[in-house]
Amino acid sequence: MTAEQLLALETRRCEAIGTGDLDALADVLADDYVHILAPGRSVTKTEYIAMIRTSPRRPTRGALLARIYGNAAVLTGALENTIGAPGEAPRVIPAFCTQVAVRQPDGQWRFVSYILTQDRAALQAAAARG
Amino acid sequence: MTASLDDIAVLTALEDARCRAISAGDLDTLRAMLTDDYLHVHMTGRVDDRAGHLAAVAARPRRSERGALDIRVYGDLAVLVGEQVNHGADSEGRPTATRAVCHQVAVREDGAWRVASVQLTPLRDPSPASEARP
Repeated sequence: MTAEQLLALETRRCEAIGTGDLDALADVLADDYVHILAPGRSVTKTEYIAMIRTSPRRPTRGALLARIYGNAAVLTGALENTIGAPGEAPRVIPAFCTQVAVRQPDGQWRFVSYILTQDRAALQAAAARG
Repeated sequence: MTASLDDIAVLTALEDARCRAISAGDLDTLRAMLTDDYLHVHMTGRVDDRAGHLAAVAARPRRSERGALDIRVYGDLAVLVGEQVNHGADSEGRPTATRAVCHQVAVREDGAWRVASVQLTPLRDPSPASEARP
């Protein structure tokens, strides 16, 4: 795995979420995937995919740092989630994420964990702008 | 993937030692258990490197406690997830306790496990609004 390949995996993940392609999303997440939501609750792969089905969103990534450790890798960087169904007023949540991807027994790399923390300074700046 | 009991024991002890070093303000010990490329994401979303994290611990003493840990080992990388409570004081000296979920990455380098990444997100009580968050 190179940094470019890891970034491409993240692009696939974001595109799958943004287009609501749950099969493509399932393909980039490992079976033991754990996703830590902004309120601190942890959900499984199945629970996370169900959440994306009921709560559409479009993630946009900022600058990303890829660190490769053999058959595992850590990806960190900014993320903006634009949340809301078509026709609804979107909410934009600035955040920072750490993700871990691992080479699976079938040779494919998939994400095994994800944590998102809201960027408090960016939220406050956005609120001040109104 | 399954982790060996030895790895789980070593990683649990590493995390115990990390919390003790933070709580004691023992920055040399803390530095030794963090990788050179360590990244620390605070509960506010602010990001520090190893030097920045050590400076933050020096400037704002705290006592860190962990709850049960979910530890997954993938060869020479491990993911640790669990609750963390930071005990400190506010600007007027009143005691504070901040609950968070902590996601850590440890890597094995030259046979020794060290922490490469910590990210905390505040643990909020579940509510319909918070459940709809990303």
